[in-house]
Parts: sequence; structure tokens; C-alpha cells
Amino acid sequence: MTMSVKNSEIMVGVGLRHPHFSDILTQPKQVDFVEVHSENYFGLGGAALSVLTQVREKYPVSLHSTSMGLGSTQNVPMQYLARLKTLTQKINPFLMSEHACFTWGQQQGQLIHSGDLLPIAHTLQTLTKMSAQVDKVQNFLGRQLIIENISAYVKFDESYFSEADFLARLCQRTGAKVLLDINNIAVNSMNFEGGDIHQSVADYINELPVGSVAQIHLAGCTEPLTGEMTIDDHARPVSDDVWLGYQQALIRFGAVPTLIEWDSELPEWSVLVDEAKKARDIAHATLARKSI
Amino acid sequence: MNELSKTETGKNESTINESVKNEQRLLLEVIWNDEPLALAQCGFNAQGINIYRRNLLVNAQRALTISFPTVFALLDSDISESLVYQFLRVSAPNRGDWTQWGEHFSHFLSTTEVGADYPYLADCAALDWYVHCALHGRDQTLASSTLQLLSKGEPEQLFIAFNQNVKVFKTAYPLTEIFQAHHNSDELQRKVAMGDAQKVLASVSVEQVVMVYRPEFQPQVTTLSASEGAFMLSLLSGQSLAQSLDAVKYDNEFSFEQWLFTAIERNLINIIKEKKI
Repeated sequence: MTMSVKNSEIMVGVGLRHPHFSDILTQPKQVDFVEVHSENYFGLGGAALSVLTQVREKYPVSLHSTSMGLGSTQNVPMQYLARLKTLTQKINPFLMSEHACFTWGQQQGQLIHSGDLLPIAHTLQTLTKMSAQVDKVQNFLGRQLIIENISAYVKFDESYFSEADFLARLCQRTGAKVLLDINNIAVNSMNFEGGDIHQSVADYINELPVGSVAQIHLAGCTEPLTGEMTIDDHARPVSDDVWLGYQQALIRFGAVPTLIEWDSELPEWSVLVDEAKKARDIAHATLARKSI
Repeated sequence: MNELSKTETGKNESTINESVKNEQRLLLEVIWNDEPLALAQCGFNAQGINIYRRNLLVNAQRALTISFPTVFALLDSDISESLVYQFLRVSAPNRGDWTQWGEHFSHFLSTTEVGADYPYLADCAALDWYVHCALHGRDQTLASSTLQLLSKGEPEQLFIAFNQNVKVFKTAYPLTEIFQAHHNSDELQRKVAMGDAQKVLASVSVEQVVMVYRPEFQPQVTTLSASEGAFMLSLLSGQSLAQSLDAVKYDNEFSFEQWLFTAIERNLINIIKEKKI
């Protein structure tokens, strides 16, 4: 029997959005870290960046990027990377993450950004291209990246790797780690795999090597109308299915930093804190059972 | 299955390379080009594509509403959604940051029917954009040690570098009043500003000089007097202090000392420079 898990052994954080700036700065510390979307702080100055700098004095910060599009056949533009590097140097985040998706393309010869996380074909060619992009970005930033699985609403017929296998191979090639979003697995399960979320999560995490996951995201989304696809809107508390998936992930990957994401219909700060507390309690109970 | 054997399962790798590029291109096209035929022929799940299309429009509308709060407060929702849709197609985002998207929105508005019906909309958009840029602009304060040049240097050789968040521009519309009517924190002041704006819009248009500046973090908007406007536009165009003072020498109400006091209070100046000519 090993020692039971202590509170300090798992970091549980929340996504920080503008309406909670005052709460995070004025209330006692109730979460272990915060995560922000990098692009929201790409400005050269101003109030938001000032707040983030103050938050950084109190909390570890994770920079979660949403626009890099590492799986694009287009290269990530240098102007984007330069802004991210400036922010990285200013904030010194403890984690930096992005998504396994594409965002950049061309229309009529002009570079465009999709404004969304678009799915990639899980093929060797995409793996090779994306590995090169991840290498380039990691070298440029001097940081390890954590790559998140995405929720998708269409799929490429060309894919022959599963997403989990693709991510495992990507990490093996680049030294990056996986950001495991349990809700995204659940959304894809409901949209493409018949909705046995427990099985989908089990299959997914069993394809990822132990030690490959550096962060877990938890979120909830709005129930779809009958016959409609589930949209990953981050507008609800974490669902029971996702909490169960979280326990499965903890058993396999251990006490990795865990984040509560909530982006739409933002609740009071206290609701986010309560969700984080629930995650911490579940982690302690699960990891304690695991250690027996 | 190892990586090499994976490629042996079907098509050869070069075919797949081209195929992946084409699929990414096709997916982007079908999301952006909102035509039923394109959707029917693309081979992707129609419900999924419609989710991406809707997300794109919602994200774009949210971004523009944040960057152009005055314009969107003035527009009905059906018109604003249509404008966002059109603007996405003529000026697609290309920076990876919605905050930086909208630089050309003012010009775009001037080319639209609603822009023709309400000609002040384009100028409102320009003002919103300047305020938006100031909000995210570099934090700058006066290099106060350079103030001593004003007493030591020759005005012909002195130049003022303004804080990067300062923007001064001419307009034929009551932009400050329209802006205050929507953003002043005091309800009574908003009503007064709305009344003033309506009065000015109903009368013969007179050119105004409007300034955006950022004393600390919150950008401010004000209308400058004709002489202040002429003086600042001269300085901003790179003219020396002496040349800029010349531009207002016939205005007895203009006082450089008063202007300087206000400029320091409003954090307008970054540095004063001396250039030997």
C-alpha cells in the first residue's frame, strides 16, 4: 500500500474569463492555477494584460492557445508565433497547450484563419507535417507543448489512425504531451460512435501511453435536441459521464493537472470554484483507491 | 500496426498528401461559401458543416460586437448579422486573433446600403476601432525628463511624439456625442448626449476634430476645439512645435501652456524630442 494522495499532489484549476477578473484578484485563493486563452492577451498592453500579470503573481498560469492550427497544411504564421512568444516571456506559464486541429488555409490566394478548431485527417502525412510544426513551435518558444484532442462535427475519410494513436505518435516524435479533454471524447462519442461514453473514454485512454498525459480538461455542454449533434459549447457543469471518464483517466494517468473549462453562459465564480473542488475530491478519492 | 505498414493499407502516401491538402481546402471552402449546392456535393456531414458555419458567424459577430460596440448598438440585429456575414466574405480574418479583426470594417460599412442610409456609421466604426486599439495598445507614459527641452530648446527644433494610443481625426458627424450616448456610465449623461447628437445630425454638418486617448487603461473620447485640433494634427503630422504653433497663431483663445497642462493630465505625450535642423 502506498501513501494516500495529499491535497497538494493534484493541481486543479479553472479557466479564467474577463467577468471573473475582480473575483480572482480579490477573493482568497481557492484554485491551484488558472488557464487563459493566449490570444485574449495578444495586445501590447492594456487592462487585460495588466490583470493577467497581477494574477500571475498569485497563481500559476496555463496558456491555452486556440488559433495555432498545428495540423494545418499551411505553416503557422510568424506574426502569430511572435505574439505568443512575447506573452510567454511576460507570463512564464507553467503549461502551454494547443489543439490537434487545423485553422489556417487559403482562399483566392489569401491566407485566412478559420476561426474554429477544424478536424484533421489522422494520417502519416498529417502526422509528419504536424510533428514538424510542433517541433518548430517548441523550438521557437523554448517550451514543451501539450496537444489537446478536439471535438469535431465532421470527419475525414482518409484517417487511418485513431485520434489517440495519432496523438501518442505525435508526442513520441516531438516530446510534446497530451492534453486529454474528456468532454471532447464524450461529444465525439455522442456524435459519431453511438454515445457509449464510458467505452469511448476507456478505448481512448487505453491507446495513450501512461505518462503521456500532462493535463486533463473537464467541461459540460448543452443537451442537443433529438436527432441533432451535440455541440461542445462549454456552457454547463461537468456531466456525470465526464466525471466517470475523469476517474478512468486518473486511474491510468495519475494526478495530472486538471482544469474546469466554462466559456459560454458563464456562472458565478463560486460555481467554478465548486466544480474545481468536486474535481479535487474525486481525484483524491480515485487516487487513494488506486494506491491501495 | 507500425507507421510504414499503415501506409500500405490503401492509397499510396503521395496520393494521401494531396488528398489531405484538398480535404482541408474543401472543408474551409464549404464552411465559408454558404451555398446549398456546395454543401450537397462536398461529401461532409451536412449537419456538421452547418455547425461550423453557425460557429463562424457567431464568433465573428461576437468579435465585431466587442470591437465595434457603438455601431452594433445602433443597428438592428437582423441587419448586423447580415453585415457580419458580408464582412466575413470581403475581409476574412487572417491573424489568428479575433481581436485584431475589423481594421477594414469602417471602409466596408461605407460601401454598404445601410452605410449610405446612415453615413455617420462608417465614422462611428472608425472611432470604435481606434478606441478598441487603444484598449489593447502599449502602456505608455510621459518621459518627464524630456519636458525640460521645452525651456531649453528652440521650438523650431522640438517635436512631440505622442502616446501610441492617441488618435486624432476629422469627421462631419457628432461622434463624441453618439459615443457618449451609448457608453457614458451615467444614464442622464447618455440621454443628454443622445439629444445633442440628434440635434447636430438634424442640422447642417460642421467638421469636428475628435480625439481618442488613454490616460490609464480606459480609452476616452473627446471633441477638440478647432485650434486644439489644428495644433495636434500639425504635431501628429510631424511638424515642429514652432510650425504647429504657427498653425494656431491667429487664435487668441489657444494657450500652449494650457494645452500642455491638459496633455500631461490626459497622458497624450510620450516624449519631446529635439532634432537639429
